[in-house]
Amino acid sequence: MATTDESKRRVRRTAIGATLLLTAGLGVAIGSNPFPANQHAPSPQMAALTAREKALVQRAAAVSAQSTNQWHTYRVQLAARQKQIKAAALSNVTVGAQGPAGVSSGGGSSASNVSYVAAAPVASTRTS
Amino acid sequence: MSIQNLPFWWVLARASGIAGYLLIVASMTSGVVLHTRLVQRLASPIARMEWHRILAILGLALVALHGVALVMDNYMPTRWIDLVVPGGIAYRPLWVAFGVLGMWLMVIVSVTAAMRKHLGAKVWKGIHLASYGVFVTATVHGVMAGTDSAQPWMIAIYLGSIALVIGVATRRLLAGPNAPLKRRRNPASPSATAGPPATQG
Repeated sequence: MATTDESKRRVRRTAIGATLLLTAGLGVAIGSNPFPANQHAPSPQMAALTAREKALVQRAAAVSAQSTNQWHTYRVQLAARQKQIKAAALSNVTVGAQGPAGVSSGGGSSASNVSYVAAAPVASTRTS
Repeated sequence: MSIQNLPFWWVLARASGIAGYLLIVASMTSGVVLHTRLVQRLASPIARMEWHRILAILGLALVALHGVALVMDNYMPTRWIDLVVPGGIAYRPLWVAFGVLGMWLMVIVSVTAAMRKHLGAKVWKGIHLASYGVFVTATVHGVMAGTDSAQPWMIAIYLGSIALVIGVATRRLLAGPNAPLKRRRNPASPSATAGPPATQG
């Protein structure tokens, strides 16, 4: 019975050891060239990378189109705003030029229109 | 490529797949030749049976590791369900389905082998013949879906495995499974011819 168990244990140990060696050896052999070139049967990683590249190119085109569209909108809005600012500035210049003339009595120097009142108020209130 | 940049799961998936295939072939071959004269001379019946059993278990373990490594690998999207349901994966679904089918056959053969006493020899043997199906599906899966199929060393492994399995299966068919072991007649020991014949197929 002991011989039987010992024999089984020996077989198991040998088989497990050989399997580990085999897997490690294959791992080293495959690891030395993880992506072998093969035109007839492209590797799944290459297929996945190609699909990813295609998706990224499509995404880049979509982002670029959206960016161009937003730039166009921005430039149109900027031009309209600049037009508004320019119009407002022109309007201010016109108002500025007309403003003092409306206040003054017209003709002569503005200093002659200013009068200083030194007399007491005509009526007094409770708080004055 | 340095060891830090090595795609660990990808390498493990391929290494375990090939090692699992080799263990399936070894287990199958050891089962077919279990009672042939050559092997009977090499090892005791218990050791022979244990070799057959442990190789099958290790083969199944490596097939499981192959699946887990494929799921863990980032590059080829594989879901857990793709390991048990054939046809769901994006990469070569038909040929990967052969691998899934082979895995299920392997599980059935292994489970029924463990339940041999309860099933009866006839039922067990009928199911156990599905091992040939495991070999066929594993070979088709490896050749058609394997990354290394076109490598010279992998072609050598496939051709060697196919030749080995066909060879031992043909020999067994021709010789018959229960051919008794013929011992050399030794005049010095009269009991040499009275060895027990091999009984199991």
